[in-house]
Amino acid sequence: MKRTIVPFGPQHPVLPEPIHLDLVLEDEKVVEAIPSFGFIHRGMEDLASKRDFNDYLYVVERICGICSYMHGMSYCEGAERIFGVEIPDRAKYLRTIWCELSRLHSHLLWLGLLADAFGFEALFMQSWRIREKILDMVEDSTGGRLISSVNLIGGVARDMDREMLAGFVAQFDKMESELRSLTKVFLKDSTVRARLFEVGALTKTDAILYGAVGPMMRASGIELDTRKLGYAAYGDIDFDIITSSGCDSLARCEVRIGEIFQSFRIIRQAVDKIPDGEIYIPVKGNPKGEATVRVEQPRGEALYYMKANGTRNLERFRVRTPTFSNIYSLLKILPGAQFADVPLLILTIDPCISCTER
Amino acid sequence: MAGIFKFTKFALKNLFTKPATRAYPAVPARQAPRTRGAVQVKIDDCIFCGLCNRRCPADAISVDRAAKSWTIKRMSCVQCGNCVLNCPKKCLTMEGAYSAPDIEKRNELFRKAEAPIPAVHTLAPAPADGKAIAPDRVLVIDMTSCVLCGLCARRCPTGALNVDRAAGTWTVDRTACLQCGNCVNGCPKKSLALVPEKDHPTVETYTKNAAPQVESVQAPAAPITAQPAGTEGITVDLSTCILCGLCVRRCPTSAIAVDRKAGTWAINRQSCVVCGNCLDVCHKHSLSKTTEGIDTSGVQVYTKTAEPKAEPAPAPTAPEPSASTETTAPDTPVGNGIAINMDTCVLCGLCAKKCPTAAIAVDRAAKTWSIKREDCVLCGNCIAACPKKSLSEDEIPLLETYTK
Repeated sequence: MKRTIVPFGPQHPVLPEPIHLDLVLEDEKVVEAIPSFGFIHRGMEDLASKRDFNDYLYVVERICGICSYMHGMSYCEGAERIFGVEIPDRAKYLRTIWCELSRLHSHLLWLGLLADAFGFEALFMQSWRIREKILDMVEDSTGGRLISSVNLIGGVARDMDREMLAGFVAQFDKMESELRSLTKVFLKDSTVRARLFEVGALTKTDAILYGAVGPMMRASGIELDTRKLGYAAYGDIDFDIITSSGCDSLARCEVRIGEIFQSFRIIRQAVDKIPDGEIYIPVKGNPKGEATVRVEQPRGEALYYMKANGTRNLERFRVRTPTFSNIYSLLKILPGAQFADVPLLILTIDPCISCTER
Repeated sequence: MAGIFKFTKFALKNLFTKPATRAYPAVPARQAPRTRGAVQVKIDDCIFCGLCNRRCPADAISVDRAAKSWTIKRMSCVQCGNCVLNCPKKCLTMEGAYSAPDIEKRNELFRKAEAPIPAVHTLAPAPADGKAIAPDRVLVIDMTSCVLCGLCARRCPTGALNVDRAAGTWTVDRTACLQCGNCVNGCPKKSLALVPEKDHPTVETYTKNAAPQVESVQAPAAPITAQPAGTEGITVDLSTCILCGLCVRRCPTSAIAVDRKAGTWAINRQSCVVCGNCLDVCHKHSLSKTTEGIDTSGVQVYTKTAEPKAEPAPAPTAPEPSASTETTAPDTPVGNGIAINMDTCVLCGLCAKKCPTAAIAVDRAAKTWSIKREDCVLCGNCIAACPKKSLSEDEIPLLETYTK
């Protein structure tokens, strides 16, 4: 059959970020996808060797807007390991709460985008309406809607008092009930199912083989979550790893919705357990050493490597972002899919090109 | 077709609910008390130190000390709040609304209103009303007590001070001086002061031998010569000294040298300015100021076991420093060492960092704290540095590693 090459992106309505794929089509069926990257490479890793490592924190936070909090936190965790300091317990709990708030807004954003991708505008709006409340909480507690700038090497810059935390938790019940009604539409509605069920299947073997991470991997039945390593205060908190054996787009949706409910559970526990005390211990000087940090971002596992050489600049800073790992899985699930499903499939890995290209 | 019904029900419900969005700009945007809006400066409190300029990751702020102006590029500012966090005068804030939308990239310039400068070389007008702002102060020095150690110049954030030990001069550039007082606080001799005087030249040089050329001085001050030989110097009591080397680190003129292997403590009398900075840092109070037995001609070496000897001018008849005559055996009693309470230790590693002999090692991964007893000189610097007060000097079994 005659093959056609259709360019997809770098500008495409389905996602605002530039990803480019050359789709090789046979009729309406994708047989191969050839990616090309680097449209928004900003050289942020190289910048680490030119900026004071204390100030570079604010650059790390701007690798990506949605993943901003986790980037900043991981950078601080890495620097604290090099310094050899342990931050106060209260700061750890505060970080955990902010981590989960950022997971909540990221997953809700994804749900909205997914609904938008299969053309259900009302669902998109309702997902983002819930997300907006989460963003208000982030703004109330940190001062910024997305980019919190609240982490410091040695702790956090802002505290949350008891009333503020209780105020957040008080809103959760209503949000959860709203979310349950959204869940019914996402998982039970037959038209939505028709777009998601058995579309873009990634088997468990393939997920391992192609190194999938995050909800993408858990939707293929692999029970793995970096949070269980116990960074920040996750060691003291009880939560489930949500998995699904569906392996398809619907399973990815199901896992993310499950994780939203787990995030509410984690924040509730953290608010109950949070100890009183300091939130910041000052660290001074220019350290020497290296550190590797693994964290579970909303999109999957991210890895940070930092090497300090005793000067005010880092010698090397490296980020491997979850989307970078998931691109291989995307290239695996695209062949065989219908051309009309391509935007949706790209979306199911929850791509963050800005993170990937740094 | 129950599935389809979910879809329709949801869409219909959505149609008849109130909008969740605001009609911005008709309705103002939501704002939290902590919202990081636009950076605001209280220009009257600003001392133009330039820290905000240096710490800004986006190079949005520029500070001109000469023009006393503070400029921000609103479009470059990324609202991280790093400047606010690092401002020593707390004159920057980030509360309130975001900066208003604009159609061009504007720089906002803030300039400090110049205080009316009182006419120079006239009698100072008496402060008629109590509300009159205190006139700017000037930095003056008492050269009779100054030892020209240079600590003030090192601590000056603007490089306004210059100390020339060879020429015996101390110079201040009053145009660069911010009157921050860092030098005054750091002076070991308390020679510096900020005084509300006015008629001082912008660049003033004080010389050690002569009185400062200030016209208000009437009687010629007695010339102060450089310290005559054999007057005053730092001496060490080697019976208590553990040769930790902290004095070496603190000496502004690098006059002290400690050799732990040879058991010697040496001081170059030519460079020593007797500022007393080493006396403050010594944990063992082994150092003292004395006028006896000081040989100013060169390097004087004190040895743990032997008597001190003057190196370049071997003068065996020189009077022995009284402190070093009672030197004792160098070894600390076996069993005396730094003890740690692992219940309170957080393995922060500060002790390891502060140890002058690198005897302490902290491994946070293995949760261990270890000490090399043969390297430890029991200076107590770790005890002073420990934030958890976990360390103490005690009689201890000679254990090497502690595990949490």
